[in-house]
Parts: sequence; structure tokens; C-alpha cells
Amino acid sequence: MQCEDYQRWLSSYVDGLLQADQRRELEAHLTTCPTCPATLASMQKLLVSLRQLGDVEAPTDLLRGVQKKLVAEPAWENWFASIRYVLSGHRLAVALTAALVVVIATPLFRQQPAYKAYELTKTDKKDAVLSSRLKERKNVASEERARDRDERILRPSTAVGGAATNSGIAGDEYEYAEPSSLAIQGDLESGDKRADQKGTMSLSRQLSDGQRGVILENRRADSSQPKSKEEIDDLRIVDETGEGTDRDPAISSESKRSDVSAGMTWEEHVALRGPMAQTSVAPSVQVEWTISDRAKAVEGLRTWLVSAKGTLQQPNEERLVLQIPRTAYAALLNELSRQGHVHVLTRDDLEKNKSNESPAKYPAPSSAPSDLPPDRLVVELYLLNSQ
Amino acid sequence: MDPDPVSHQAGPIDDDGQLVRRCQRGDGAAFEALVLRHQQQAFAVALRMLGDYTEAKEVAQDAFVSAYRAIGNFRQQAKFSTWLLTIVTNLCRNRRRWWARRKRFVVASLDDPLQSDEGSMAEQVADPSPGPSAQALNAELRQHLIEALGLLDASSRAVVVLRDVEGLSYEEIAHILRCQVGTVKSRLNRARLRLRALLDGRL
Repeated sequence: MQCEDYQRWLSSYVDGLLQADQRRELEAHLTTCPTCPATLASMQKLLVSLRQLGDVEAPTDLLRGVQKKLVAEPAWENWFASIRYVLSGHRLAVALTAALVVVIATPLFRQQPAYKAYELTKTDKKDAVLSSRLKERKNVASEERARDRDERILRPSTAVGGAATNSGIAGDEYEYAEPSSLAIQGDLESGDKRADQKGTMSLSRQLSDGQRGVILENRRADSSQPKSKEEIDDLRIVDETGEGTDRDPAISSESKRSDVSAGMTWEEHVALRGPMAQTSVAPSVQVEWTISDRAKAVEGLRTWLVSAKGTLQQPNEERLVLQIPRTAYAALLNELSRQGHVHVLTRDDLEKNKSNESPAKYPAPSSAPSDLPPDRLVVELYLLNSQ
Repeated sequence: MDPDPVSHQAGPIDDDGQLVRRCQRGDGAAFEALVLRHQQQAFAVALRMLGDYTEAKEVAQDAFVSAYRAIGNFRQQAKFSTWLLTIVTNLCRNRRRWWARRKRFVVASLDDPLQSDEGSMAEQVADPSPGPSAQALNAELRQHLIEALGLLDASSRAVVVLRDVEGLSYEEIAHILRCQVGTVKSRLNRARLRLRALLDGRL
């Protein structure tokens, strides 16, 4: 064998992966060869030096950037970027076909649960509450929109090993699919009584075992059939404040109007405007914040508010009233959950609070000031002690 | 068999799995803990793959964003770090190609005599704040090493970065790069010999 052949073994040799007989042969060669020992020595030095290249510190604001991106960047941008990337590549023909299939097979916009960092309240009665609220509103248009949305489900696409795909987008995100309206109608019209009674059945069937999915709940179902825990968990992923998307004229009403007038459906608008549109809420939100060190937590919050361009009022010890940009909502919850436990109060909670407990656990939410700009949000924090 | 001299793994980080599960249940704080735990490695890999601080930061952040969005599908068959590095390397690969194309366009328009895509990489390099123990490696050699890394083709560079810079096992690298362990071995061998040749006399 020539030196070149032996050099092919050096890499495995330094990693200790050479088979015993090869190792013996190489070592024998090293004792006689004039050049190979030097090659080996410099390779070993190379490895020591390379190791030190790993010794870099991550940028201090890396996490902050991740948070910003999660809040600000709708998933479709990534998706679009990857399509654009593929299209501009060399494998144009293949890519075009693939892209076409994707475009035909799925509506253009995909969506994933919004930055779902925060506990959403479990409620089985949501259906009933919602339908009564819908009636109250007497808004046919929004009711229709709501129903449209109800009939869609968010469904996880098949995961391949749960790892990143070649396009560089990690795993598979959630995407819209709308077979459920057909499924429901089909079931109902064909007189499938079980479906009629249960209502949610045809929806839940969309999720096979072991898959995590998101169901935008089927609000047509009047029965409050107890759902399995899994299903409730799934429901909870949809930010329950997401129900506010169509009763919330405040959130970027401009963009909403222009999107919708551009022929977009509401879902597409939400997908386009990103998670924040989905988690968009009424002009004011009530949040329970359970913390151990109140002074420290509030101090931290004050600091955060400066960077987030928010303001703070403290009417009393138990309550803080913040005003923040809407876009900072998720970041706020994030900041709060750093210090303690966060619980976003639902209307249910507030009603329970009013009716059942005396004295009420917290005061009635103050209504947002009438001059509140549409891009601002009032957040009322009820401070609780964690003990 | 000799002990593996370049395995630098700091031992298994045992509660990653728990953090991942919490994150899958929607716990944002758990996700942030994961970011803080793994940002150094994600960033270091991206930096050494791309040779550009800003790009690397961007890729590391995008990787975490992607990871967050896909965490529901992560079954923990691999370690979280392995999974994350898969995303990082994929993003690097895409970024690098895309970036190389843009670069070529700029090169053409400015009539600037940069050589190949690979070659132009080395010129981009301005190495960021080295960590505390980095003083051991003298600045000149460090610069040479970075330039030499930039001259490797992307797949060789990936193998070297994952193995020799980050100290991953062959199996993990095969998993990340979606290839056979044998392929890792042969690529690594070629890459190391090439690096050694590029740095001849400077080591």
C-alpha cells in the first residue's frame, strides 16, 4: 500500500474507529514511513484547533429575536420564502410540479397555533356560551363567518419522523383543511343520527390516534357532550380569545377591511396577519397573575413596559392596568409567565366571579377608554400571591 | 479500541425531554429554557457553516422559530439537540445557496473579482467575540482555520463542523445529514485531509 492509502485511514484512526487489524497495519507503517507520522501529527493538531472554533458566545439578544419573530412573522412567510427559494433553484421542473401539487392540495395559507405559551381556560360549556353570544350579536354576517370558520378544522399534516424537511422548514406545521364541512353535511344529510346527535363526531374523526391536532371547535354542536381530555386539550390550543377575531373591530380594522375587500376570507386574513390576529382580543383583557415576589415582579414588568412602549397604572395593590401595543400581547404574556403563573380570564371566569363569589375575587373589568387607539390594548392584571 | 478522543459531548442533558413535553403542552417558559440551553450550539454551528455573524444569528433564530412551530410533531426519537441541529443545517444549506446566488449577482454587477462561491465565503469572515477560553488558539491560526473551512464544499464543512467543532457522534451526524455512517466517515476523512493540506505548515 502507498502512503496515500494509509492516509485514508488516518481520520478513522484518530477517532479510534479503525478495525484492529487495520490499526496494527497502520501503526506498523507509521514506524517506517518518513512522511505519514507528520501528517498524523498535524491532523491531530488540526482537530484540537477546530474544537476551539466552537467556543463562541451566542448573541445576547438571540432569544429576544426568536420571540419577536414568533409574534411578528406569520408562518406563511416562511412557507412562501421556501417556495420562492425552490422556484429560483436549479431543479425548476421538479420544484414547479411539487409546488403545484402543494398549492392545489392545500389552501395557500397554513396556520399553526399562535404563540400558545399561556394557559387557556378549560371549558366544556364554551359551545353554549358562544352560540348565545352569537345570537346576542345579531350580526348575520359575522355569524356566517363564524360558521364558516367552525366548519374548518386545523389538522396536522403527516409528520415524517418529526424532523426537518429538505426545504428547511422544520417538521410539518399545521395547515388548513376544510373537509369537515363536507363531512358534517354529508353525515347530516345522509341521516346519520349519531353524527346528528353528537355533532362533533365527524370532526374528531379527523384526528387519528396519537396525532396532535387543532380543531376549531364545531360550534354547531348544541349538545355539551363531554369530550375526552385529549380533545379538550386540543381545543384549548386554539386561543380561546381567538373567538374574538370577528367581534373585534379594533384589531387592525384597516388591514382587515382591505384584506377582506381584496376578496380574502376571514381565515385568510388571520393567516396573513399572523398569530396575533388569531389571538386578537377585545380592547381589554383580564389576566390573573400569580407571583411570589410582588415588588420584584412589578419592577421587572415596569422595565419590560419601557421597551415595549407600554404604560402602567396601579389603581390599587391587587390590580395593575397596562396599556400596550397589540403586537406586544404575546410578548407580554411571555414576560408575565417568566415571573409567575399566568391565567387569561375568560368571560366565563368573569361571570362566575360576579355571580358565585361574595365578595368578588376581583373587581369588574373596567371598560377600555373610548379614545383607545385601535392598535393598543388594555390589559388588567389581577395580582395573586402564589402561596 | 482507543477511547474516542474527539467526543466532547458534555453528557446527556436529561431534562430536555421534559422541557419538550412542557413546550408541547403550550408552556412558553419551557420553550425559552430550551432556547437558552441550546442557543450556543445552534449559533456556533450556523456561524461555522455560514461564516457570517449576522446570517448565523438569523439562522439560529429561524431554527428556533421553526422548532417551536413544529414541536408538536417532534416525537423525541432523537435528542432535542440533534433535531434542532437538523433544522439549523437545513436552514444553513438553503441560506447559503440563496445567499451565494445573490452574491454572484452582486459580484457580476460590481465587477468584483471574487472567485467561487466557496472562495468568496472566506472573505466575508469577520469572526465575532470568541468565548473566554478561545485565547488559547492564536488569532492568526484561528483566522486561517476559518478561511480554510470556507474553502470546503458545504457538505464537507457540515461534517467537520458537527464532528470536530461540536463533537457530535458519527451516528448523530448521519441522522442530521440524512446519510449513512459510512458516508460521514469518508466525507470526514476527505475534509480533514483537505483542511490539513490547506493549513500545511501553519498548524
